[in-house]
Amino acid sequence: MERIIGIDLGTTNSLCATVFEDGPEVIEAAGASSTTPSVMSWTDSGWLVGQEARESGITNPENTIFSIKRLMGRDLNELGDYVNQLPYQIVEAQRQLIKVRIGENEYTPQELSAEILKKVKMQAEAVLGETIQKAVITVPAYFDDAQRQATRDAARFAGLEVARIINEPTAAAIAYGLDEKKEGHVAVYDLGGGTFDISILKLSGKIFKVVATHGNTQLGGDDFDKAVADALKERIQKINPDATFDDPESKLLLKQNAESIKTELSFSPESSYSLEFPKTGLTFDGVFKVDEFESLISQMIEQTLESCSHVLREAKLAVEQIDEVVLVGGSTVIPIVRKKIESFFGKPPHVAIDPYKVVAIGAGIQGHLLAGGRRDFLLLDVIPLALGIETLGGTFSKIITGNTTIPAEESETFTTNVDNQTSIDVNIFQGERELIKDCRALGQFKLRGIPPMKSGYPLVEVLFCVDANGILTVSATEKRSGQKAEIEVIPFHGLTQFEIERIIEDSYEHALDDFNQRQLIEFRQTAERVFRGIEQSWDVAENSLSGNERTEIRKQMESVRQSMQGQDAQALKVQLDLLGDLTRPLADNAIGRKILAELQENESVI
Amino acid sequence: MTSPLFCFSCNSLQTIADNINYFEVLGFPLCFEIDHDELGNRYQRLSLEMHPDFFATAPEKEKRLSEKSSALLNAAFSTLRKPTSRARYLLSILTGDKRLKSDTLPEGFLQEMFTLQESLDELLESGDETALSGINENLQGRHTDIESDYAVLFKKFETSPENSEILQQLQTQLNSERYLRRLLDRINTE
Amino acid sequence: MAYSEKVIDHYNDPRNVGSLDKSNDNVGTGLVGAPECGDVMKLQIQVNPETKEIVDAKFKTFGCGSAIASSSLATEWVKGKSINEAMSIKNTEIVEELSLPPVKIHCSVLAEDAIKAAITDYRNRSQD
Repeated sequence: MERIIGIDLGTTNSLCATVFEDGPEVIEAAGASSTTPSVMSWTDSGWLVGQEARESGITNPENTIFSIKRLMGRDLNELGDYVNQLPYQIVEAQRQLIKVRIGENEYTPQELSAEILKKVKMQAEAVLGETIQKAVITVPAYFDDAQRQATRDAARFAGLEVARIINEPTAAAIAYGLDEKKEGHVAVYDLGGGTFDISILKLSGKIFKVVATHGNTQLGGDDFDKAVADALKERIQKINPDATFDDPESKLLLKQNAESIKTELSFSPESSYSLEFPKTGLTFDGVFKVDEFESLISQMIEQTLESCSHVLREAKLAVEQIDEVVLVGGSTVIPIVRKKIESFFGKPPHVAIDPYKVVAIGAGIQGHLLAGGRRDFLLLDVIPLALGIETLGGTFSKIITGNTTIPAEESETFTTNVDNQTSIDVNIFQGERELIKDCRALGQFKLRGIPPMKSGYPLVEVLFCVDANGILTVSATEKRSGQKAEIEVIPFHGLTQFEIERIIEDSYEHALDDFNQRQLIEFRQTAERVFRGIEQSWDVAENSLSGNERTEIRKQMESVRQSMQGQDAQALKVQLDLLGDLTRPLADNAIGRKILAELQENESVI
Repeated sequence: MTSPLFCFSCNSLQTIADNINYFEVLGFPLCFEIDHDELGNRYQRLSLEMHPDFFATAPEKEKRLSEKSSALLNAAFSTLRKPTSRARYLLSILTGDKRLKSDTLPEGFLQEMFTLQESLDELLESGDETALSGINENLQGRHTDIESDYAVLFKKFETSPENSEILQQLQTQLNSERYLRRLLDRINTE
Repeated sequence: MAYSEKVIDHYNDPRNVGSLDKSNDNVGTGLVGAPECGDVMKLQIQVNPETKEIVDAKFKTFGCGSAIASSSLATEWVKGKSINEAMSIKNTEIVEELSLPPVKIHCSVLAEDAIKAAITDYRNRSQD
């Protein structure tokens, strides 16, 4: 059975899980953290992704990318002021697409997201000792079609086949439901780094059915950080009215400090900070109190509770009918968030499951099911928002309504306005509002190849199909002639087939380069470790090795150093191996063994 | 149970026949009265066989068939589980080639709806919660009455299938339902 | 799909919304509904009894944008026309003017019916 892992591709952190022999668990190397910060940093030697990128970020703010998830499938207009807070540079590309500019290069959010996925994939492969080709990837339930497509494209760029895209709260519900074996209505409140979802599920027997879902793809812990950062700015400007924070260093410094203040205030009544702005050399110290933090974010929490009321109405359920409230996402550890949820639902939320891991674990279980590993449960999910077309005067005409169980199919019949008309243009939108200006434009399709007939005579049946991933495809047939009309969908916020193929081609071309780069980094680090080991055991070497042997080792170390300056990973490897041979006699003592072990481990990685 | 979409004895998806109706999909006779628990059970049983999740590693053709069959099953279930959509669907099948007047309403009904809409304008403006919930309750009651009439009328039609006047009465009830629904939606969303 | 400025205008800024005095013998009222969606539309005309010309028209529609635009256009069109001319307005003309899509054709039918109902009502009343 081929393994399908589950990946929680988060705004702040990403992690993956799978089903091991003794059950589902996140994939982590012994002693290492299982989460990969969703941060990447472009350096002279290529991408740094995860913890290293996060740590080095402050010295390289313009080239350090975080919260890329919030940019997926969005345009500049929609993101509004958000892009100004970012230390990295956003540029507008064709068709309202956005790109991130790093030096001379521009990257789509999909390509950047792919770097995180590649890292997660590599780490999982290292732990499991097998290659991974397929994954279930989670997205916020309230992600629309464009955002889902973008996620799927990112996975393709990372060399992963998406076995299924599932919603984060639903993934959490799988993990919860199978663990607790409960029945009834469960509300999953998922407040992550950048997105908020509330889903209501009905668990009965083997079926986990999503009844209704609501949310906000631009609300999360990031916004709490921003509120704190703004408050910090205000404080500083009170003392120093001329202080500005528009440079990338200041933006990132504020963001990181705000984040740690927020984190500390989750378990402490106050948090003291000490800011040091590298550009200006200015420093500011102070204390942030939990009351102030709570009043800053209370409006945003209220917003999430409005979504909760909305979803209850949609589900036609009273709040008393909710049997359990499950919390998911890092932002739900904030005490005030929990308190407000408890008072809204009138019962304490279920907190026995790890809100950081539950989504990945649910995705891992779903992956196991898709791979054929079990079939004792089934998840029935919904599309979050109605899909439809633009009609008269910019009004939105729904074809598939929101909260419809997927997969779903609906058709609509079109005709022509003019005699012998052979094509019709249709604009596709997604949303719940009456006017298309309040909905999201997904794309435009042209119906071509309609047989010439009198106006109003052709019957073009356009079929909207939403698959189990919640992704829309459109097809059309002229009913009188039976002719299949051609459909060309031009995505408004996504990548065209052509663009996707070009990026994949490019990545193949660079794949060798990338691989070389990654190995180079690995080998350089190994060499540093080996050098340290040799220096530490040099005393021993003086006793156990001949002068000639010692000189040889010194000479070889120099050769390794030279290769480290170069760009050829294989050449460095050859030099390292030679050094390994020369230091073999040192294996007689403990430190020598350690060096040897270091070199052997290095071999097994290759 | 049986369904033309899935063969339980050979455990395989079946090709979807043209013009298959929602009652057939779930193995029910063409009849308004339906056992709700049984409807739910059958939906679950079929979902557990046909859902694309169980065909993730199957050949492309089978995968697509499972998407199609599940979409049809989902549509059938959501149509049949609610009385009004079930009634509307059944009426369209029973009507067939017969001609019904599409816009019949009880005497004075339209005027009443218009007046109610106008008074809603005022109530929503003033935000008078008590009056609003009073109207809501009243309309909800009438809505329920209409829904319980469907069963009576369909039963009557079963015993005298040549009497298309009964179908016309059903059409009238369904028309009235739309106007009431509209008012109720307005109260509950604005 | 490009819509004419006119269409968007009728949607965003409907003309002649309101009521005329129902008890006035020169006023005819038409009340119609669309059972497809539960829209209700009231259209009123005021007629000069001498010339039989429609001097004023008002409407009130509880419905979707297309229904509102259709009735707005209908009131614009009937004003200044004789009742006989107004009687001959066809829904297809409204469809064409507003380029209504097939799913919204019933809205234009509603507007045509409303005009006819208002004229019939006026005729009945003025004969009494």
